[in-house]
Amino acid sequence: MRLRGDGTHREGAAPVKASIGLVLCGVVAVAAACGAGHPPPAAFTACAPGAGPGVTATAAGSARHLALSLAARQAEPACATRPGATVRYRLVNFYSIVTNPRTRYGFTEFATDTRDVSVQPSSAARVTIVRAVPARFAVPAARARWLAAGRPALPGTLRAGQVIALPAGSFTFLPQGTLPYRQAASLPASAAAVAALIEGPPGPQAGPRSPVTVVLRQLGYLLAIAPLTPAARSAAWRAVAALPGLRNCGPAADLAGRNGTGLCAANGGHVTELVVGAAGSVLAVADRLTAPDSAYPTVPPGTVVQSATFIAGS
Amino acid sequence: MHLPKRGVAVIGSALMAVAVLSSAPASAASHTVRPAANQVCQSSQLCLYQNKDLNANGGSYWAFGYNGYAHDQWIYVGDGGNDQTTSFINYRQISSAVAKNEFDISRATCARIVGDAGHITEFIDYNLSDNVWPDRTKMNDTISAFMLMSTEWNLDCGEVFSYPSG
Repeated sequence: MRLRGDGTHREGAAPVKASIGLVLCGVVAVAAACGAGHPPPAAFTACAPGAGPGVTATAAGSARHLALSLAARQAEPACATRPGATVRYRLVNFYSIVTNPRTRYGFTEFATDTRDVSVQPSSAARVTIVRAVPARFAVPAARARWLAAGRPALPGTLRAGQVIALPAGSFTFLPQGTLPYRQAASLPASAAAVAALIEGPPGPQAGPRSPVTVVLRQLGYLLAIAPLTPAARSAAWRAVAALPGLRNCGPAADLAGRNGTGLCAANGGHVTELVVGAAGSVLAVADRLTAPDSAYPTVPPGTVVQSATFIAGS
Repeated sequence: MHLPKRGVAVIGSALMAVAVLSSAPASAASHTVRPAANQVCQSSQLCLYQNKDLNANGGSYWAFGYNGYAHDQWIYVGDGGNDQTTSFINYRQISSAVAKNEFDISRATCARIVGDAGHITEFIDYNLSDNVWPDRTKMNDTISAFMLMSTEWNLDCGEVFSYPSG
């Protein structure tokens, strides 16, 4: 939290055309949305896309309407998860590594790796790095800054073959919060409860509310990978629909060659986008700069600075 | 004194410079562990991670090198990294510190992260969701400033508690 004048705050930045440039297939529940070669996840039955008009994600229509339509459809019993099954998915993780931001030598690198994740009902998890692309400078100016700084050691990235084992009770389906498996599987069917879970308990400990971009990202992860009941999944979509400023940002594509529709929320110089597949699954979550940000030195506006894409496991 | 879970390195005061380093977690694959600091952060850096478990489930991170900043001063992390941190590594021999605000930092809103002092390898907090600041507000996604200390001077920060505070 910043408590004094922040001259760099850019609330209400101009909308950015949605084209994430990343493709992935949803993990949970919507095997029909996945392209050939991606089997349905073992932990979930396919969520039959049998709903009525207005349900299919399209570039037309309001974001709220789309999210509410998905909420209605995903409440169907066909979207039920298999209780107690291991959750498996593949994560393609595109991310920024920022060195010495807000200094004259600060620079940003981008890196990508692919991770196979399996989560047990105990919330023990195993994350295997199956592919890693070395980090690259975001732009030539970033490399120039690194050279000017005397070629300092570059931050590390994980390597293919590395395995991260998280002990029981450790894995969370919210990347920036705490939601272990059993809690996710028993999430209340209330949009308010879902929102409260993401914000944390109210009261003096609560602290400032999270920006809408962070909330949308959290909900994206929740919908993409968590073993939710149909009712809780529906509630999560209603929570998406209730986000202030949510908008349909049009067609979005991902690197796996699939198309979807973007649901976007903006805060300051950032936009977070959910890429929603035609059958209603969350394919990817991405964050884009819409204005220069000293926390991402050398990165021009319009650049995607991170994304998580989710592919069904087997 | 209430130490956060999982052997965290955040403590409240220089006079209580005690930390517990988490051991490798038990699991079905006992030979595998969470990443070590030297795999994902460079020596002499404070690294702030957007998500839990050093971004095990994806995310970006920011590395603040000792040679890049003024020492013993609070420094704003930048807009994109503001209120984002969920895990961190202090891969330094000397303590660092983090604060909830950019300005008006008091002992109730800062936390010291001990350095290894040459005795242990690294200090990592895998999940700030488990912690609250000394003023008992949540620590997760609230870090706005950091300090790279040049010596172990008596920086006056309060005690960090497990969440919910005890």
